[in-house]
Amino acid sequence: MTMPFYVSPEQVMKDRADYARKGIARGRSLIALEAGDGIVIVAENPSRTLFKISEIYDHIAFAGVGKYNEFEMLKIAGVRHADLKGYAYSREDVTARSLANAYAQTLGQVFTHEMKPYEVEILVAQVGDTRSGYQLIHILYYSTLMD
Amino acid sequence: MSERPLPTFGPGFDPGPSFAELLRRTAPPDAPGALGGGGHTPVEVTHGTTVVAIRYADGVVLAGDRRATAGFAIASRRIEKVFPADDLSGIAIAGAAGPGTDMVRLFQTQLEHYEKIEGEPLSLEGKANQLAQMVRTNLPAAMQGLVVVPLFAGYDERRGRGRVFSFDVTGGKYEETDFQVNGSGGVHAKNWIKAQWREGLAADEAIDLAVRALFAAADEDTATGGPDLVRRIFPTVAVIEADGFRALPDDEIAQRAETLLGGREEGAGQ
Repeated sequence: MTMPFYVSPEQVMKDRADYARKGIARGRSLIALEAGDGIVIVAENPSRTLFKISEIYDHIAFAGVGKYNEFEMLKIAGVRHADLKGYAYSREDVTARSLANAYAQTLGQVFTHEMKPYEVEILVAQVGDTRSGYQLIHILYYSTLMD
Repeated sequence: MSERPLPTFGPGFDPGPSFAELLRRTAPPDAPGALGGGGHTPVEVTHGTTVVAIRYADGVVLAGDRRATAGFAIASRRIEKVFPADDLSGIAIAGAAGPGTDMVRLFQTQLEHYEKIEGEPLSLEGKANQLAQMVRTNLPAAMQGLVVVPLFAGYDERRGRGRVFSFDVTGGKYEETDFQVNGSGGVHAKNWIKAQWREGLAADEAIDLAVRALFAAADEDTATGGPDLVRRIFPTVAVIEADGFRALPDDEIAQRAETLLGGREEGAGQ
């Protein structure tokens, strides 16, 4: 008789988290801080062609660390999300909060359902929107949002 | 409120840097598409009328009158027909105003979207080709009378000069050497420009020429709005040079228009 192969959910999550953390730890760090009328984002980047910091929309920036192709894919998805929303509604309706929620959903989905989690941590920054003001939202590989 | 999920695509389905394609891929299957069939629209739709584009020494000027008509009625006295497309180009529309302004919005989003996804802007030629595709997509609607024919002008950084493009309803793209006009009063405006244009015009001269050409068109064409001194309505004018798109402020145009009033294009002498 063969024994059913059992791994506890805790163990699965822990293994995945360890895997993602290891991948992220290999990357170089970035810093974002509110300064004066804006937000400064500084990243250590040895490449001239691959960017860690990008424009998402009028007042929204994106920065990512970890595996390049994964956060680049998330950046493109973010640009698409923002442009679709701005086109369907209005430019003012595109907010970092909504974008961060969409990121969290996707990362959460990937973390629990896919073969391997994304080895990324991303940051969504927004300035000057009168309703929600300055925002720095840090999104981890397993989808937790930190404001 | 549930948020829109992030738009992600499997391999082979990625829309690339095209925003129009992204819209198609994310549209619900029952979304209304372009109008089909032939014949003309049974209702009078709002039409924008005369726009001009003129190349000068350092760039191009785009200008349009402010009138929109629906049949013989004036639909709007203050419509704007000149829009920025991105930092270095602009678009002026004549024809059905609804689909026209929608096309402008889509085109603006497309250029911005491409630049953000690809990391660098399209060439001016590439932008003009994109617009040609959008005009072609509008062909079924154009067959029903909702014709949109834009003028596209911009500063070509690689060639270091202004360029003007015109389009036909089938999406044909034609580069003009010096100037082009569009809309019902276009023929009058064009004659005026043709008589006065020369190589190496200064920005000021080109702006005045555009305003005069619009006045001349308004003098002959009922669908083109002339200067309205009572309501203080004057044409919209934008210039595009190496440092970018700049819409002229209302008072500056008013001032220029007033000094030009009483000229031949306004019918002085007859």
